[in-house]
Amino acid sequence: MRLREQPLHALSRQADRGRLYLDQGAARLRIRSSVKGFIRNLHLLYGAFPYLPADTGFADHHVELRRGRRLRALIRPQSRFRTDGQEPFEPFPLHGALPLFEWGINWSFAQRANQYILLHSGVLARADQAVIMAAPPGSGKSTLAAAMMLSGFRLLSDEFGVLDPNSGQLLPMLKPVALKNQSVDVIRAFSDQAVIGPLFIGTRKGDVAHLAPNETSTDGLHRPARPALVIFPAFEAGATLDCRLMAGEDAFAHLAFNSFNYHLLGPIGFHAVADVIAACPAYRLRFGQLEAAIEQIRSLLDEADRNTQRAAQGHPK
Amino acid sequence: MQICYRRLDDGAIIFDHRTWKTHVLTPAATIIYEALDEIRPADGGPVPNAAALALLQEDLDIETDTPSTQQLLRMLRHLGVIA
Repeated sequence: MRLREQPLHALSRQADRGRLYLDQGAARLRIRSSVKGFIRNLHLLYGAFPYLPADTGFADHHVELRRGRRLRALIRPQSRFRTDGQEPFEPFPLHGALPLFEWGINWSFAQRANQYILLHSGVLARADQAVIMAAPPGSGKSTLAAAMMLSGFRLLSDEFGVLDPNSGQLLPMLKPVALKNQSVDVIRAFSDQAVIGPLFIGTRKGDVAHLAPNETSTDGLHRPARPALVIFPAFEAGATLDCRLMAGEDAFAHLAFNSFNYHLLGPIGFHAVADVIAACPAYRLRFGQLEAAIEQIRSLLDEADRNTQRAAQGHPK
Repeated sequence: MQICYRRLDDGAIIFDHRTWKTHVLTPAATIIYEALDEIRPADGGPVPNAAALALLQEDLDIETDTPSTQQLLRMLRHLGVIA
């Protein structure tokens, strides 16, 4: 059963009792909240996720989203986020509970999931071939990830490349894609399949709305993918497509040194990221049009696939 | 083992187990590192400084007093590749 098939009032009751569970793949959350608007947004944006009953039990992160108390419940009401007893952020306005929750989860996961290498990247997959997309904020990474999901790729994550050092595979850490500013309208226009939540105006990251992961993505919550391609995308309005192969050592430096926890993991992180770069071609991709960028990524995946097959047959790449 | 070395295309990366620092080698630095590694003593100890300079100047025809080569040599001394 999917979360959206559960009546809103039943989810609200579970959340009220601190027994609402959310499976994001690499982490499971237990949520307590009495903020009604927040649960409504959760129902919409996590609608395709599996529904977990109130007696699920284990969770990696215990989070609470509550209203401000006393005067703050009445005057300029607030929402506050707590995770395992910590309150990492200042309160947000009550209507901003969802972005607060999303950033809070990112923070919580980045702080604690050190059994994995947490690359600062989006990850999408075609079958089980993963594309790692790493780029600084403002480069169009989330917009491209959203458009790829809406074009048939499976979304594993928009924010975290969760690399398991034991298997060398990438695990889903699935959450709604945070679209910022103009990207919201770009994705609305890109596909009528896009389920987009309310627009939160004037957050610290600008105007933000969230794109719900689709069923293809939520059905693969526990299906890892093998790294096949590394892309460093950069959107430039009006730019023609430009795709350049990167030197392995440069790609390594960009991927490793921008990860959330590479510095904590020492040789484990070193070898895991080196294995990714040794196995995958890495490209800088400058694009001005989503469709052209996605077509190029498909063609790079085809090429990577052919090379893998040739290597398996003993031919040089 | 004090360092881990991985070749990636024409360049390379080195992990220093003592400091947990990662060093990125350009293709030119990779050639130097690999040439020095070939003449390391059998016990894995560092290459004597004079032998390293001789290798760079005579065999590889590299000017050893340029800032970039000096920086690389400093790094290789820190890593225990050169004495």
